[in-house]
Amino acid sequence: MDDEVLFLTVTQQAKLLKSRKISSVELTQAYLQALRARGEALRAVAEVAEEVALQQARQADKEIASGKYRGVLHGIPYGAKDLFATKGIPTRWGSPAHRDQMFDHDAAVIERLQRAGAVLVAKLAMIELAGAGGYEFAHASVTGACLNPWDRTRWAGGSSSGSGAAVAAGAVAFALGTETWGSITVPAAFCGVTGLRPTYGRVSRYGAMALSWTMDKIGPMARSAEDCAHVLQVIAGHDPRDPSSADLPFRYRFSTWRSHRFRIGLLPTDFAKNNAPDAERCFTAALEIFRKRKANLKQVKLPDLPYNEAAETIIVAEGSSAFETLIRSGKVNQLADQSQVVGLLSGLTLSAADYLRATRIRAEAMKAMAKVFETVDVLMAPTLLQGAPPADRSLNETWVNMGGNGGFANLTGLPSISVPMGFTASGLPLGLEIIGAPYEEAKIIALAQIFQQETDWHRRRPPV
Amino acid sequence: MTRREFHFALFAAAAAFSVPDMGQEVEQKAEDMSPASINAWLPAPMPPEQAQQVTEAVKALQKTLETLRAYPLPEGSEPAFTFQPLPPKRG
Repeated sequence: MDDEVLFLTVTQQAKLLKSRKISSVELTQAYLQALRARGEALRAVAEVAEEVALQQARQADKEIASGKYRGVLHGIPYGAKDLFATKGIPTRWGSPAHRDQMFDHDAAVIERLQRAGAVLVAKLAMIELAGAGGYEFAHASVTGACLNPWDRTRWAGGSSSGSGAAVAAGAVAFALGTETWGSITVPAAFCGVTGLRPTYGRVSRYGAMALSWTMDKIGPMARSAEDCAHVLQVIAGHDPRDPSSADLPFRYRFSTWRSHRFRIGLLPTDFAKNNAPDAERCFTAALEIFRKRKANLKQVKLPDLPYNEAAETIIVAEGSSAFETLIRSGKVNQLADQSQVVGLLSGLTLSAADYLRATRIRAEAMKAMAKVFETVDVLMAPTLLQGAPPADRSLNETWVNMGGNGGFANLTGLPSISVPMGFTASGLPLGLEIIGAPYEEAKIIALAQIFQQETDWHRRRPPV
Repeated sequence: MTRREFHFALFAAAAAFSVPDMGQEVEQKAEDMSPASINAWLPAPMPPEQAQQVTEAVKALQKTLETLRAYPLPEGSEPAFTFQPLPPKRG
């Protein structure tokens, strides 16, 4: 099969599968080969699921041939971050302390994708425990540092490292990632792919590793905003096994929003102070596209609240509690990155009063953000201000002037999408982030799709 | 801001903390809440180097908490989490 097919969007591949110009088995075999050839070289793969994949692909072909077409994801090969429970396939949470972990059930998102006919080809590499305790090195993973397909001396980002790298390298058609604070948007920006972080509660967390019960979100990483919408339509919805999951339908029709005059709030970004001329150039060009589409752009300032402090307190408290068994067993010391161990241990000192105060501040922050969204449809800023840092050095040294918009947005459960918006002078991808009001994923996806109709950044391929 | 940048700023701020009274207070809290209380959770006491790192991390965390505690909240305001009572399954 022509390598070109592996870089098509899900939407394009679906047409080929439905019309039986290609079979799911052919597509799956091609992706399995790509996973072994370049996915593993990038350390993006936790486990190739060949047997399951070929069985699911054969089933998909049989059903499509008999006219039982399940929808756009039918027969499409995908990868899942290695923190989703998968029956019969190891689920290591990226952690050396969980090398032998195996579950006897599938996570809700895996079940839903299987019902939609998608084909699970691999579990993808991740930062151990999704970076629960905070990590210093890109190699904070049982699989080592995940390399960036655009420059193999650089990091793919984290914690959904393999999901970003594998999509960018054409080793899966789409991937599932998770985000507590930055874990989808960061690797999406660094790897030049589209990453969608849905509203908190939009997608069931059943069967997904818990880092922070009140901040973990599950979302797709893919080659286009439209592809992310297809995946979200399948994985979204209430699940009684996750009481935080919302009973709100998600349906996306681009035509609903194509001509909408969006009110875009621009988050304050100091490009000069952060020495970010590449991000400024790309962001300025991006805004011009929205201006031409008659969007109303205005600067916004967020209400003054301790968003980052509240988010950090909640993550630290919930993370240390979620991994209490690991801590008590002493196996926490098996983690690859000492900073993770220190972070998890220090979280044990947090008082209930401080944790509750953080959640009360979150309630105030949610009200404040609701006010902000009375005057704008979305918020916009560069996802990060720099390209991916080197993979082999301490991130404490290299993570400089990065910017980012994760604290307030993750604290208050807002959806967000990161789309490629250009490259640094040294050829590293940069991302544009569009943040929406709760449950308004359709708006941010539509804006991203408008942007992707006018640009080809998302179609660029790394030198794999 | 990314979580990493936030962490980094915290550690820098904790290291540079120079207000004498408050500094001592934070130092004291960090000592009280660090190795001794954490060791109670562990199968074996932390080695000295790790205990020192944890002490530093707790100190940085205290800086976060100072900011958090300084924010005025309405009396009795609700926290942002919910639960649903679980009815029994009866045959």
